Amino acid sequence: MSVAEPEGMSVALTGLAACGSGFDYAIARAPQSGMAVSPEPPHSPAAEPNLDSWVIKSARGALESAKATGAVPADRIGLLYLSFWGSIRDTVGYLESLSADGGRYPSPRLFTQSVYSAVASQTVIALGIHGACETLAFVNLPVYRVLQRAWCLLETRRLDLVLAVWADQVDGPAVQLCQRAAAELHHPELARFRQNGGGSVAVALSRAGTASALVHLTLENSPTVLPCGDVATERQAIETPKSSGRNENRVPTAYPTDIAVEFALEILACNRTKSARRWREIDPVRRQQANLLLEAAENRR
Amino acid sequence: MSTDHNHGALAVTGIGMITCQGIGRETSWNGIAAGQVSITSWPHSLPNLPTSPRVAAAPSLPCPDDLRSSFWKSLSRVQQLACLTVDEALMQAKLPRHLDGHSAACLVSSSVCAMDMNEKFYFQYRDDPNHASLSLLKRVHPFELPQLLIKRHRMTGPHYMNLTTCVGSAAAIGAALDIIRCGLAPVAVVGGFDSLCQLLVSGFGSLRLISPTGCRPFSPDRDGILPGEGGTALVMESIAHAKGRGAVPLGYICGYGASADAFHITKPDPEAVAAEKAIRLSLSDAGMTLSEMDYVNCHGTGTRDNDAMETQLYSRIFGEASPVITSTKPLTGHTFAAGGAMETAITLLAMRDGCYPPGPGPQGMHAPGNDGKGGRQMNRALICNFAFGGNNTAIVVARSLERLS
Repeated sequence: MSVAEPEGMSVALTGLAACGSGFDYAIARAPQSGMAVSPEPPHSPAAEPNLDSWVIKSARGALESAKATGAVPADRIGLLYLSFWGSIRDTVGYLESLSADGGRYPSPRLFTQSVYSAVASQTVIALGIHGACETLAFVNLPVYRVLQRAWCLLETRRLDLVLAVWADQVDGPAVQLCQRAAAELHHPELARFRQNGGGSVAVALSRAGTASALVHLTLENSPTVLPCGDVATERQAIETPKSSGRNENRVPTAYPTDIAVEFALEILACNRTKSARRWREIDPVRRQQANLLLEAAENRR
Repeated sequence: MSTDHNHGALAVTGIGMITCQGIGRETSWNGIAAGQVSITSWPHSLPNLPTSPRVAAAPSLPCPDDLRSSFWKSLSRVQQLACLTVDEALMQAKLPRHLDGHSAACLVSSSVCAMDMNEKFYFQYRDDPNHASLSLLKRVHPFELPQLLIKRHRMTGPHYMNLTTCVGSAAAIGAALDIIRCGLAPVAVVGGFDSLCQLLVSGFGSLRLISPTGCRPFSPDRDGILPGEGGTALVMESIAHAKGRGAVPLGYICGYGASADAFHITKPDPEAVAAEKAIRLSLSDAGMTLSEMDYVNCHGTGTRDNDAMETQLYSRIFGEASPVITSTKPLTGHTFAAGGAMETAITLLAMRDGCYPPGPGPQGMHAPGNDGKGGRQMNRALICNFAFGGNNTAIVVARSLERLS
């Protein structure tokens, strides 16, 4: 049995904000796009802000640009948070506290912050959001999948506004480990993590047709599915893509947050030119794609 | 949106479960129904406890026939729990192992994911960076869990991995409701899986939330949680899909509600305002009322803050007309992200067998075999879960759809 994607899987994007230090390529393009990014110079790992401060900053920025603060009841606003690495610095910090002094003084603070969903929890506390809050991970297509979940939450009237936030932070030890693991395990996903830094992209989404939309997004068609087969052997096949298409090269690194930045740039470009655009999300390793139609709100009206 | 005239209820046609009581749905349920406590000592001591903490550990897990043993050993314990419970759930649902003909969605949850392997790697790395086994990092990312299931069972519908700690699998059940009601898939494999690891046990120990002796929710001498491990998988499908293939529903998921306290990173809001909101949202979603609930499977962790919050919550919303309320965590341990799905399964199995899950509640202990108030059969129930960060969920389940239809 095959299921056709419902017609009109659309949402209205009403706000957007981004901040961080890991967006070199995005920052370079930002002046042309007019994107409201808050670039920060690379910090030493010790001085870099915590992931939650980036997430709170971008989520608050998206809410403010959507003019939703106070206009939408707090219990009708929800948060979807996606991170590839989560709070890895705090996780490593907690394990370190567990290893030191024979484990006599494990840090309750670092344990609490190492919990994957702690960043989302800090964010809803900071913003006073009372709707559903979900910390998510997806095998592929991190922008499309989050938008699809947001669409479901809006369509079923569970929420009136969804803040979707993609955020990541990678620092020294994680990068070193990834590089070593990539070489020794032939693990291309890990090879893509080459630099310190991170950041956060947040968008505010409402039901399609919302008057204050910057851009209408239509999730156009189902992405191709994961190759199936014997799990013990399939892994190898999946990790050795045969070719790279033109669009793959547009994504310089593959943090989900970078893909979200790319997406955000397209949204702003669409809104600036008032013309419809298609944005294609590519999973560079698995070579799957999802199409999103971005349509400037004024054009539609 | 779904066109089923049952307030969007979904049929549960398969359950797979592994708990500290044993491997398999019936083994686990029989132990729970009998009120059997199955706890062991955690092999590592905690600084603030005089003895090793007690945990509710699952038994060692056998490799399924279709997987190579070397591959099985390379999986995290959470992945192993998922493989075995999903197999059992699919078998009960009479669905094939490969679901590519069903556009099945895969909606799962874990809070520790592969931390058992990652922490082993980290301790090796700390001792000698050049000799740490990098293969332990293979499962480092949370999406490894849904990826394994998607590929093994050829699930071609939407997927989702929820990492929202103790409400994770309850939220996955809610997402399944949304996805199937919205027509994105007709059937979903939903589950929660969590294993014990040093980070988790010592972390809760560092917060002084682990009981040295066992879990006694709502008791005056309660002193913390019993960390547990296990997994539960559910097959959820639209009623039309279930009917179309002649599947026999074990019960129905009728409604879901979620909310956030926005109060504190670890403590619940003592006033339980958002927790009450989640319950009311789930009832509204199901088209039911509080007075129709025969049973509440409460979160009941055995911590001071949670017990106080829940006692006040149920007293406020039910008043004198309280249904049977029990916590099954003394019998399963607190299985974190697995809890919501596990407690939903326990409630559905109790409905099937015409009894109520035993355990302590705000009104006292409910012994095994108790048949509720005045022998009333359990037809509708609430499952409540509350997590770190003030995340609240409630699920409404029903034995049949008589009233709904």
